[in-house]
Amino acid sequence: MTVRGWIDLVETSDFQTVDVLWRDADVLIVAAQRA
Amino acid sequence: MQQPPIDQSEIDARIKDHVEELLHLWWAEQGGAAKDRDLQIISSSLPFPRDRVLRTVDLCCGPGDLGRAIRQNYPNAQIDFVDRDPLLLSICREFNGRAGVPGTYRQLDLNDESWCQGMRARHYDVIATANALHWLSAIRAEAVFRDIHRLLDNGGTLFFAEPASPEVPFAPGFDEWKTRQQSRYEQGNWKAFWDRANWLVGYDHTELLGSREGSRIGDG
Repeated sequence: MTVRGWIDLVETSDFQTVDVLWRDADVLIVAAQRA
Repeated sequence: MQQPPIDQSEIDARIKDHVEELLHLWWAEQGGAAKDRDLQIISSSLPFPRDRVLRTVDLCCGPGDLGRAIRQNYPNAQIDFVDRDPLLLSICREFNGRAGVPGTYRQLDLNDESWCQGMRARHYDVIATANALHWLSAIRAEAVFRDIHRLLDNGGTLFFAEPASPEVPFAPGFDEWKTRQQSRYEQGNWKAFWDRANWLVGYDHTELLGSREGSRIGDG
């Protein structure tokens, strides 16, 4: 799944503040906060 | 996943004298220093004061590395260790007991739609998971994200570390470059962990894990 795909899944699930903390060739780290 | 041919207490008995060895093999299988970096990024970015009694879920915890990393930065954290796999939970529980890390343990499978039925809604400060959600389908992952949203208190935060692929136009060049880099994951490390774990428990635990194919999100 792409970075956009992961972010879309999170945003669709009502999380308000979403950020990519890290991305390299192997891993994506996302933080998503509930308002 | 399918249930093992022996019960939890027997799994515990068979691996209890080998948890440090298994953890070392797991650490290598998960990417070694790169996994440590991921855990540090997450445990350093939690938006809460360090003395908080942080209500936390290490989701799909495996042997519990992420929960312990959070506990290092948040010594008052209360960690619920959740995983579908009784063998990995056994390693987690045994190691935490020796290390003096308190926690609760729940065997729950995210592919079960009622997985969080026994957990309190709007209760948790942090729910964190590493290298696990890509085992789900995209539809299931979205449902799990909604479940996590319900479980988190206001201001509560989800953290996840998962594989990600480039967008289509960039994939050929990116993938070609990646083949020339040192790989984080080695089949030999996966085999080393599971060969040892299987030998200790006396059956092939990997046969219980389910297929890597199908509709799951996958590594790419």
